[in-house]
Amino acid sequence: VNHFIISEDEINIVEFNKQFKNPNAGAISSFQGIVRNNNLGKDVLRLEYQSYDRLAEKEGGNILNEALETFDIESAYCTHRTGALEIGDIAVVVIVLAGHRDDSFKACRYIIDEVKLRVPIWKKEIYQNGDSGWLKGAG
Amino acid sequence: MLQEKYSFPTQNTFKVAINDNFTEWNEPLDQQDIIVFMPPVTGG
Repeated sequence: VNHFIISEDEINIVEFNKQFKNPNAGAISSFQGIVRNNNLGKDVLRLEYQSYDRLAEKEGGNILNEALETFDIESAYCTHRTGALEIGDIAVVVIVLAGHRDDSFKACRYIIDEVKLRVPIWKKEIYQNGDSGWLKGAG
Repeated sequence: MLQEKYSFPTQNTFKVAINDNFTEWNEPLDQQDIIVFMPPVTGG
């Protein structure tokens, strides 16, 4: 089962968290990436994300598996939004369950860092002044 | 060749996938293969 999901649907963090229960887990770490109202000095009105869905879910699943192999954790999940998002919306969420906090933090950090580097998702910013543009990646 | 003919971005910045798998730029192609060129990603 691949726990990396691309979704057009709004992420409800309370409902999202309810899915995960594991009696071996003494720690749950989570990261939420949310839509910010500014970037590089420009006032951002909203964002649009597009994804190469099939490859994104495959590569995202690879990242979760790497985290499971590298860190002492029980399970890991990640969902990334596509479509139009407003300021304050959750764009991406990572959840890691582990026996102890140290590896849950480390795995959570690893997953979000690798997702931003490797998963084929692209972000367009729409600005307050009416301009818009696709962000240029680190390349 | 693509680079010269279409001002295609360099292989350093773009990634390529064949049939939904990341691959190397010198991978041989088969008939009906689906090729995708990807600019640097900006998710998260």
